[in-house]
Amino acid sequence: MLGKLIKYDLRSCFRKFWVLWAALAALGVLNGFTIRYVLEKGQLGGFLTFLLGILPIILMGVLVIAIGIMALVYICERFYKGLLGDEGYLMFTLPATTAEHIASKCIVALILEVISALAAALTAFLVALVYDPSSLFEFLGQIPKWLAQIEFPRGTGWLIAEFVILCLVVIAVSNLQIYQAIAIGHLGQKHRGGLALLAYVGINMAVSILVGLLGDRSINRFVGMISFSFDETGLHGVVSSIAGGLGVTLLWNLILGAVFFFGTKLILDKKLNLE
Amino acid sequence: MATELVKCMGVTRDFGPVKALDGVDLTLESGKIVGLLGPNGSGKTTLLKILNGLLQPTSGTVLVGGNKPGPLTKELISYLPDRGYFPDWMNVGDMIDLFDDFYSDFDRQKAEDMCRALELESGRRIKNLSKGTREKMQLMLVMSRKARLYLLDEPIAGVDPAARDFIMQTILTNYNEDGTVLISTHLIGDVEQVLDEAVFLQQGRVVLHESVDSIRERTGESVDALFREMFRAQAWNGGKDDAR
Repeated sequence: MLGKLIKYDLRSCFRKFWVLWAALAALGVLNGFTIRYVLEKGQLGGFLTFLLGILPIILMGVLVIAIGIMALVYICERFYKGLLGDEGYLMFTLPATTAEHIASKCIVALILEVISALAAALTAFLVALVYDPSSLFEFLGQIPKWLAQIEFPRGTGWLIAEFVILCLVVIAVSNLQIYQAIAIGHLGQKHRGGLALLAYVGINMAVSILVGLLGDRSINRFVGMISFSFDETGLHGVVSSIAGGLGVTLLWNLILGAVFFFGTKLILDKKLNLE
Repeated sequence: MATELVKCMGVTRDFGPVKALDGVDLTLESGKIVGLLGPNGSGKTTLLKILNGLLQPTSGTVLVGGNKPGPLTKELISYLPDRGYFPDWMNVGDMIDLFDDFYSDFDRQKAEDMCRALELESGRRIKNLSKGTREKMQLMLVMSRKARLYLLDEPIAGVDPAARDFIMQTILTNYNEDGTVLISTHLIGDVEQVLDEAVFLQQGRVVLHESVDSIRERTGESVDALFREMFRAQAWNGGKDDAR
């Protein structure tokens, strides 16, 4: 059932965001043209320089920020309206488990965030591509040569993979934290939105205190490990130390994610009370 | 032979100090149309939500098809809530796809035929449909399933007489005759003719569960008349009695 839930959550997500992603890409192309035009023409006069050189860049920046904010609002709204509003009468009577509902929302939110980030990166690429394609391809052609000249320490590939996984896990955990806060807000009879916000702040404070209590010693040990590695074993040691540090961070986030996931599931299983 | 489909044993549900259900014991068999009848606030919706797994009872046990409410029982139940539940981003086709994907007992052809009869094209956005059309579509989807148990919460409340006829017709011509239909309502007159059994709920308690024929035979009056008698509220007369 998880695959089917994801299918409909993705459908809802793409219907809302594809226009925004396409608009961002279009603005990237437009910016490539306008930047090239302004730089080629040199003196255009104040207004034209603003209109062609600055305004499209501002619009692109505003759209990137708007997509970020809309993604955040969408993630909150889809969970709140989709499961705890009137739509909950449909979703919670489908033959799916609560865990599948939460997982579906979380996976689709992650996909939305990754695609939005990729859309922003693609836009920057499009600006460069349209502005000066030959320089871009020349630059891209140089990258393998530069990489070939660098002697990467053993395990660098694993380190990068670990970092990417950590980023994805951190984003997923932040979504699960939002769901946990909304679920706690749902326990109240009134002002559920306000309670959810308070719960979110409360969770943040609790996590910060916990990290303060547990984390300082670990971070100091990690920094010590890096220094030790520099002294004793060179770059290979540094890579393995960083990998170890990332591993600890990954484990911590997985624990947090599990707490938020099962905490949300518990509330929705035992205390679901659709208005 | 009739088989036990729903079993509630001592089901209680509290909302703070209020007892919405108070020790409900109820057994429903397959192949019946049952009226869950009671005045507003008697606990009808709460009981339906508990049968669906949308609410947990404070105490007591509920079994549907021998299982506690969960994904297994949700496959058996086709539920019409007392409100619209369509996601506003969906169109008519999305909703049919969704039911088709999730319910193995969903008859897609029947749903599409009913939509065509209402001139609902697949691409129509649900949020652009009128409230009445959305309600009809919701009912059509629910009744396009060959479910073991239909839970219909106030399907005829707040609609005009013509729409009531459409709703009752849709229910009666499409339900799975091997299954059970539990209709919650306080508009007894409109459903009495189709009921096999009546369950009267009062302040969260089952005060009567009897076949309609037996009620008529025993009391010599209709279910509607008996309901009015049992649940008659005294209108406030401006305090004249107190002044006397």
